[in-house]
Amino acid sequence: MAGADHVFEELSEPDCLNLLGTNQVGRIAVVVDNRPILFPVNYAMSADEVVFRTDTGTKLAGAALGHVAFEIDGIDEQTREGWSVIVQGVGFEVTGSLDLESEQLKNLDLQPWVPGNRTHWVRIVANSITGRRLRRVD
Amino acid sequence: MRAVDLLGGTEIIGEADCWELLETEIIGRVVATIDGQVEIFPVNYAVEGEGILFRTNAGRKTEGALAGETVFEVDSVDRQAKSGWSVIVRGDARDITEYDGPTRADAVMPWTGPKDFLVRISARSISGRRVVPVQTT
Repeated sequence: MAGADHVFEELSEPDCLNLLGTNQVGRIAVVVDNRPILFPVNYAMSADEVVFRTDTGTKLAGAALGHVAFEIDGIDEQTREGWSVIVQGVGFEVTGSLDLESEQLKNLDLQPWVPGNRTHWVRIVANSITGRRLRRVD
Repeated sequence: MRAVDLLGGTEIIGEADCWELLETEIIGRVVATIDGQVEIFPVNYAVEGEGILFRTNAGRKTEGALAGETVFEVDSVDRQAKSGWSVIVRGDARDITEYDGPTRADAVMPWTGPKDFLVRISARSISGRRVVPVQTT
């Protein structure tokens, strides 16, 4: 059973980036009108940055030029092992930006899963990328 | 009947269905604002009445969750089908470690050794969204 036979290990930043690069769906948390809210989003990585698309609703209002947290995780319910990676940073909308980097971001293969006008591209400039792994010790 | 949010392209999940979905998962995420910074903490949880139980050690998670409104999220995503759902519970978190009445506390045994606090988020609202596969043409 679970309990003392599981330990938490800190993940290195390269390990975190590797996990970010091999997943497709994460959760973005933003504060809108002093209330936190969280949304699942599909995302892509551009170098070390998380990029996602959104419409003009709450997500964009909170994410653009605001503090954001982004989370991915993977859990094995059988072994009760798992990991999570958290990116803390600031969201920048790059939809209208014409610089080379922004243009490259908007060429990422990032198809929205839902119909609608997900015409806004947001990149997260990270202040910190941290992760933990919950590992079983036999 | 299906309610569809045309702007977001997602289907709205009714309250009763939201609670049923919460029973199908064991890991959720507590979202808390700490010093103006939003934080996300994965936790294992149990549903009790119209509330969520989870355990935590003292620290940022507890402080953040107990101060003001707490947001709790559970989701399930099918990467192949590009579909999934997400349920959000908003409510007030209380430290019920000392409460000795009947709870489903046994259902949230910690995965990583003893946890100091048992916290209950009493739902003030619950809402959910479902993404159904997009027909690409």
